[in-house]
Amino acid sequence: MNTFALTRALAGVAVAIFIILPVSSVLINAAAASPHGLSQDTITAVKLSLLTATLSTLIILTIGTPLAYHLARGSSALSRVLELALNLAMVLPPAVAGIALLAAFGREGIAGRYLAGMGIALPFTTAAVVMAQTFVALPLYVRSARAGFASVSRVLEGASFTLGASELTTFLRVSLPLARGAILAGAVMSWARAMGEFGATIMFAGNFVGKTQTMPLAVYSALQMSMEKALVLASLLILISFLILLAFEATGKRRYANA
Amino acid sequence: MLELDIVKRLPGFELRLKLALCNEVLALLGENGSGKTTTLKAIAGLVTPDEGYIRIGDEVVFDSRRGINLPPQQRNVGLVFQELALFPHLSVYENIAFGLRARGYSSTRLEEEVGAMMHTLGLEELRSHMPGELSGGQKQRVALARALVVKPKLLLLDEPFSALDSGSRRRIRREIKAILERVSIPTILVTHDFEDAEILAERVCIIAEGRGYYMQDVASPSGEPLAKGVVFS
Repeated sequence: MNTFALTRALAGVAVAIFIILPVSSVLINAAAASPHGLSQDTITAVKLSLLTATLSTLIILTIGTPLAYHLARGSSALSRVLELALNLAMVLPPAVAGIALLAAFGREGIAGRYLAGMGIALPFTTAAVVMAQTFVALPLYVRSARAGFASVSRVLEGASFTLGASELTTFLRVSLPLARGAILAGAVMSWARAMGEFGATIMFAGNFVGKTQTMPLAVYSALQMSMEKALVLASLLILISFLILLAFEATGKRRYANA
Repeated sequence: MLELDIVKRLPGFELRLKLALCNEVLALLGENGSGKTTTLKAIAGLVTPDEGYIRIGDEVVFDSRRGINLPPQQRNVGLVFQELALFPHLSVYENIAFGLRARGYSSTRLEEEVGAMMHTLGLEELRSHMPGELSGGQKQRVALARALVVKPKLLLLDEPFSALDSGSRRRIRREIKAILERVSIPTILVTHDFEDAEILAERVCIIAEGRGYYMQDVASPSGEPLAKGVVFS
């Protein structure tokens, strides 16, 4: 075996130890744990996580899809600013994202004080969880959908226009279906990111059972009391992540042959 | 009919072109990058000229002085792209029906019109095929059917034979000639092949160095071969 092949083999072993070992340790330990680990709080956290992650993904799809199309097609100053903001949101530590949301929408925040005047308080509510998840997951979706739209030939859109289709019809009947793979992949990725959101949520929404305590927060809380409960919750998250991965693989399968 | 007088500044040169055609096939000949495709796109409304005007039938679709610039949707021009631009996610039937759907046709009328067009172009058997499953010549016919089914006032063909091998090129050229004779609408054929122009077109305009030069009618009474020695790569 030459040196390079050996290096690759060692890298493979390192990945196995570094990722596969900890993940399987959770599953092995959780299997040995008593079923009491699955308390009412856990079920509530699972439900809240599924609900908020789905809601934020729907919001992301609604606002992120036209935005991604705009970014893929335009090169205005506004597009560049939006792109910069999205990239920033993507690299920002989640805790900073949480503080940023508090600074904007907290009781004393720039927008929050006006909202408070109207009787709307966002921090430490389920809505805040959705906002935190949207903040961190939106850039992932836009990045994927944007790449999808950019790969749709402008000649096809031009053909649609000359055939009499409006811009909206062209978007719905040509661009959107052709970028479908990237859009689905982006949606799956952002749902996964929303499911795993911790830092921004705990800062902006707090950790209240039934209201803002999502699964990652529940794992953190459980760890303070019993490792067993944390393990059961963690194994549930692993299972969900695995299902997401399967969905992600499935979305990548279908591609049209070039016409 | 079509009448245009446009100026379009392109990288490295300025395209100045005057064209007028009635119910005839005009071939636009020129080297790669001479502005042939830009001219077609300007007529179809996908590219905006810097100056001038374009009139299709009785309607001025572009006039820089009067600030008129109709979008492609309102020009009713059939453009067959060099890349053919068939929608890869739609069947042959749906590709051809696309323009009529955009016009809000009922499914009965859609079936009638698309069916008749598929019959004319011998595409019935391919109805539910996807573009990716078609041969070059079949794709060509679908693209032509899609452009013609909306009854355009003008037909623009951009290098229709460029993707074909020489054998099918001859056959498809014959087919297209027959179709063009049948539909009889003003047609501009962009090509860099003199043979295409000679067989399909009644008149030839050569674009060189940003200007258009008319040649004598292809079917000239003298029967002289056209523009000997004009070679395009």
